[in-house]
Amino acid sequence: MSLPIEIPQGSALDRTFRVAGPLAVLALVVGLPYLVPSFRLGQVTAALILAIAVVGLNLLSGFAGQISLGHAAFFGLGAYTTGVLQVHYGWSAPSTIVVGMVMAFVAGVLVGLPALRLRGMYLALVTLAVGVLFPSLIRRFDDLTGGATGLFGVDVTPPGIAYFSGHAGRTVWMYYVSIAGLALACLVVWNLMRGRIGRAVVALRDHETAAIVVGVNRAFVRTVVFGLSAALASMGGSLYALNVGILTPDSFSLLLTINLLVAMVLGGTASYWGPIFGAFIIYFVPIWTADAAQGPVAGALFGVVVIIMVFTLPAGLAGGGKKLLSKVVVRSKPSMSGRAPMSGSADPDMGGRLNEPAGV
Amino acid sequence: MDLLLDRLIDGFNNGVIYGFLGLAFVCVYRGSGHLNMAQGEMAMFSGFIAYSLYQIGFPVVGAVLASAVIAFVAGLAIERTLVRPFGRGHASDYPVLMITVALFLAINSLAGVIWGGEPLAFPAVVPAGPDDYVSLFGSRLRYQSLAFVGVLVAVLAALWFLFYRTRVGLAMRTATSNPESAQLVGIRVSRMSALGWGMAAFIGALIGSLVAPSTTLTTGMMFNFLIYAVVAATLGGFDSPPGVVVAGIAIGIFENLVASYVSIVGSDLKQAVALMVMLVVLMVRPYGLFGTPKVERV
Repeated sequence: MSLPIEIPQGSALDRTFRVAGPLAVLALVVGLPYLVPSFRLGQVTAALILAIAVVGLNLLSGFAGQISLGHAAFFGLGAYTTGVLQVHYGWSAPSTIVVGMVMAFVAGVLVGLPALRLRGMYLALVTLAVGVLFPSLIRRFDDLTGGATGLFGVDVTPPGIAYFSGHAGRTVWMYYVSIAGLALACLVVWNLMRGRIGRAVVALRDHETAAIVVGVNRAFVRTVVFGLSAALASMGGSLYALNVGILTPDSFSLLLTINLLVAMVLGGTASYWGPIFGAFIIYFVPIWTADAAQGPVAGALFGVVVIIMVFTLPAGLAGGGKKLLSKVVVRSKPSMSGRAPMSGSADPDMGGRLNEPAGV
Repeated sequence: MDLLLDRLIDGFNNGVIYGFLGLAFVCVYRGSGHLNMAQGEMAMFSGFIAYSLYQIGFPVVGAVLASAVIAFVAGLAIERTLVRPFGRGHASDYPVLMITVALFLAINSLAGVIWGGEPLAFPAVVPAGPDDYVSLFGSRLRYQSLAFVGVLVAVLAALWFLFYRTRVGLAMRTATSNPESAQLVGIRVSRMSALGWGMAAFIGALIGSLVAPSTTLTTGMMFNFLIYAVVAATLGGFDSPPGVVVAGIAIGIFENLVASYVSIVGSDLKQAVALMVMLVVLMVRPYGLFGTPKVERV
């Protein structure tokens, strides 16, 4: 049989795959705590939390095409909101996450306002300023934030079930919480991008003037997307605070922003699975290369890999994987001639540029 | 009063560095219209190259100049291989930004691999002993900073001459303001872009070598300056070399005075002052105080 193998759309095989895919993901998610040791599960949790922030960044930079060099600030805002409210005021964790998200939404809208007038390099500068400003503000208001020495004692209390008791139980609990957070973030982005606002977002990115002419409310769409993106990053930050327990301003430096950006690009800009792949790569690859090579060598290699990726896989791993898959298996249109070929409703491809062959 | 003068001079000395590195951003911007996040790291790396050349027997000035020439060639090469493939205009903003971020990581780590993490003592070009200063109303103007100002003025003059008194400069300005028309009248736009990157790398190398004696040579020596240089370039206007230098000096002095006299700011928020200035400028006059607004036809 010659490649690619054609699977007719709507055939039994096609339906099997479409059901089996989500089931396999679900099985992996539920089964993972039983499959890997506790410390590894903790690492997976950290990567999941990072993924939430990358999903948020991807909404802004990938789908909406607005560069942000300041997402570490929104991540940090969530982390410190949770930390301060819990340590100083004794709030419960869930409410602090919500407060953090609301604050980050407002902050995101405020940062998004100048973004209405600026694009490309200048927008990158505004967000860079915000990103660099954040750690110094944390250091300055040290009576609240603990300053450079850090904020200690953030913790999560799992529900009082035996399954979640003890240190290992806490790890499992945080894992499930992070999965839920990531699922929520993905759902928000997925729903948003499939709807009216999503089409407006892509239209604004690909041809601003044309989008405005056909009636897209540019100011509303741009600022709301900025706010939502910040809120998602903030949710990641809150979970980060609960997970690690100690917050220092250096954890939210420009380096974190760079990591988030690299994760997004490696995974696949403007794709749904890309940010998750990217976050896992950015988290686990340094751990593995640290075993293979000394610190600086690993860093240099990492930079080179990113450059190669930008050239060879402009659509990231998600895009590259999809392309590879399409060489092996394709879903062909049903051969009934009477039906209009209305494909694409469930196709995650709408993130691709409308007027360019390849994304980024 | 003396304290005020000291603070003014301190701020001025820093500001000169900001403005100088800002010039490198201007060159890249005038060349290809991009923002090079790796500018500071390229300067740092050139400083290390100058150090190694000095170690194998070059005189200090020769080592600095040789490293600057190497940097120029490297700048050309980076533009040709990593920037030009993405073209110009807004569509290239993102990939090029990612490339320069990756370069930032790679160059920084590479310097660590080659020269190790320990700070190195860089030989001073001019005498830098405790007594090498000119007294000005009781405050000290160190030879070191005077030399820096001298080089800056020379570079600025050279840039002005290049941009406004030579055919190449005219071609460069044309290529930035209207690439398509420039191409139609026979200007090789891509070559202008390469020239901009090369010049920026050259200027960066001079800064790296001039800053190194006072900061010591470390892989992290340019982090701080990078942010300030971006602020200076924004405030001055990305297409105005003298504007950027003036803006850099103004920011250096302003942040130092605010940090000294406004107690809520203190030394922790020194950088924040500069960044707030930048945010305000971007909101009100995104093309900077001395820059020219870019009119775009859509």
